[in-house]
Amino acid sequence: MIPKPAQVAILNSVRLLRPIVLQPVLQTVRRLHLLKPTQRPALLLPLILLISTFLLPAHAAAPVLKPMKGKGERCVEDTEFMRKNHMELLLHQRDETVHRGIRTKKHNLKECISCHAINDANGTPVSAADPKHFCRQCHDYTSVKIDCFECHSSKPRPSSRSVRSSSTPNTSD
Amino acid sequence: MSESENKIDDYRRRFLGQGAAIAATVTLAPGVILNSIANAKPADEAVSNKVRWGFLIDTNKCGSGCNDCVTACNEENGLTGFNRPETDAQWIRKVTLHNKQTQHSLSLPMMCQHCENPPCVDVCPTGASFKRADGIVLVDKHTCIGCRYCMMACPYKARSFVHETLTDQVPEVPRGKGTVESCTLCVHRVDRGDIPACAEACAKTDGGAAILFGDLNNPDSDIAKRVASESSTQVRADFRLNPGVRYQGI
Repeated sequence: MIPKPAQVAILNSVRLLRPIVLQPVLQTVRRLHLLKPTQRPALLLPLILLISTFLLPAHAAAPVLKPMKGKGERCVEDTEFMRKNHMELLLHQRDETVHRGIRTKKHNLKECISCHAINDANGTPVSAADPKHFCRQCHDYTSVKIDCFECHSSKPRPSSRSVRSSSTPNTSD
Repeated sequence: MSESENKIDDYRRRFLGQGAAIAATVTLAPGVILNSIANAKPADEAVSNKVRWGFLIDTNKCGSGCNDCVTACNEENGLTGFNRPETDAQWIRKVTLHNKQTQHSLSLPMMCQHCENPPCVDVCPTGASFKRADGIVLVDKHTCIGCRYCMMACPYKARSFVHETLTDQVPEVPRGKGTVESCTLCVHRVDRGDIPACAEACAKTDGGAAILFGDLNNPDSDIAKRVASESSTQVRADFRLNPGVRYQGI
């Protein structure tokens, strides 16, 4: 759900007010033990309702990222695992490839790039300079800079050249 | 073993070799002929020091006006210039030698000599400059800090520094500003069983293959047979770096 501008304005003001409102509420909770046990639920119930009204809209307002799926049937690892660990896999593969010449396709950056390529209006893959780029969507959201593409190509090789490279035998995967 | 048996073995070997070559050609798409090295390693296998890759360059076959190896290298590795010859990346260059006494001129390609004892590796403060087990000297650009000590140390002036922000790199050849680079012996091609781009381009020229690529450690390879039977020299052999690139006719 994408919130309308008016809703966003209200939610932002609610977020700003939250610490001001929450402070006295928390103090009341801390003093609960001073009340008689019979009085506690009576005070707690409105408190819980009050807090939940401030918490719920904040969650609803967070944008939900829906990056495009790759071309293949499924990713080389589970999506949840990849979200958390893709950088570890790439780091490991990088040393294996550069120093030991191991060029398996499974955790290969080049393969990730070609599978997750996103085309622009003209049907050509976009580079990391474009905010639509698969990697950039989440990296922009989390404000994490990608260093890979200062050297590595962020899009697959144009098809005229990939014909030549695909004619070579793939000895193993 | 008698001589006649030797001949039979030789005949058998050649026949089997031809059979294998035909089988290999058949499995490929029509019209595609590969310039491959026999027994390419599987992709999941690490390179080993049983192999020592090298070049044998016959300067007698190298045309003075020919620049095909340089063009092929630039194309393969995506080396685009900024019209600044002083600093533009140069992985391979043509050098002309002229003897003033005899007026004899010769032309040769000069690139990283892939030394057995590379000075660029000795001086690197981060370990970015390294020699792979199979003798290919590379820069790990992930750890290169761009200090350029290796450029100073290299007696062959083989390395370049990337001064500019680069875009549209070739996917197989990552390159970036602030790192040093040089001839990789087309490591991405060698790992999949192809020969380097310069050697491939040189073989297609009218003069014939002046650049021969192969495994110096394999006694059955063309390069090992030729260095065993013909005279060849290393450039500045007095440095005792034992380069993997050897020259003939200099």
